[in-house]
Amino acid sequence: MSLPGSPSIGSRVRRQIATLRHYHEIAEVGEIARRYFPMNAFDGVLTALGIVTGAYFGGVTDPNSLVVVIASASLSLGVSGFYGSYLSEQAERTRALRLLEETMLSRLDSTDVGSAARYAAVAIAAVAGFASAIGGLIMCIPFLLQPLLGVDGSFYAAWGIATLELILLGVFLGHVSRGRLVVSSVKLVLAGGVAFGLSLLLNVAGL
Amino acid sequence: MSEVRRLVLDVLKPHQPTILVLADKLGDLDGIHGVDITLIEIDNKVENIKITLEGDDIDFQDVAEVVQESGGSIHSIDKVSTGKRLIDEVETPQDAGASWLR
Repeated sequence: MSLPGSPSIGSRVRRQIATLRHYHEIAEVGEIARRYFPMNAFDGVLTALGIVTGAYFGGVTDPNSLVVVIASASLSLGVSGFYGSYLSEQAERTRALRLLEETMLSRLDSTDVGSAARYAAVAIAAVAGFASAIGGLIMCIPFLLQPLLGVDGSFYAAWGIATLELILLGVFLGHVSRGRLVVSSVKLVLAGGVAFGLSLLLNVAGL
Repeated sequence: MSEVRRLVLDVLKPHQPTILVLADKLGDLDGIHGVDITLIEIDNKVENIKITLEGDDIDFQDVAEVVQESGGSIHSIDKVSTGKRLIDEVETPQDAGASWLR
């Protein structure tokens, strides 16, 4: 029960959401996050695809080992995506804020502009970190289900998931560019094919 | 102390938040009935705006707080009207005579 005159939890949450939306607009987070998301997700999917393909042709089929390796690599990519984006975005935002302060001849840290700059660094880093990790983590699912799918089935399912993720990323990019969804999807799947082919070549070369 | 009924401010602010957001926030303040914001000059990073507020009891501190929260700085208070009712500036013969100077 809230005290008379004090705002309820619902209204406080709504106010917080409105504040974040306000910062989101001021700092123009949407466009930058739209760039980071496909770029980092693509990295995550191709890294996991490389691990899966290398493991298959290298004869590593133990599901536990595969899940641990893919999940570790994906989480590391997520941490790297978060920190890398956070540090670079924070540096850029701070620089822009200082330049604006020089023009305004006043400090802006305690204003909405300063708060929006801090929010932008965290929000963009969260998107970048999540995008880096999620693609690979999803590819762990078939190996968790290996008792049901069988050894070959789990690998085929993982490649299928990777292809589906690349298609969805292509659809996302095609939607952003308002271009042809099929063309942008094919471009990404081709990149996945190149990564697959290189892993295959390594195996043929006996490395 | 009589209530402030009209206030005109000269403000320098960054491009973001926009004057739409600033007008919305100022319009939500108690005692303000109308807000008008005009863009006077725009630069690479900042813009100079003229804020005109009308109401029955405008609190300057509240207005200054909203402007500063939005990253703006008040350069000058260009006009204030107080009293029981709103009156306009009266043009005198001296003003008319000196118009050729403007």
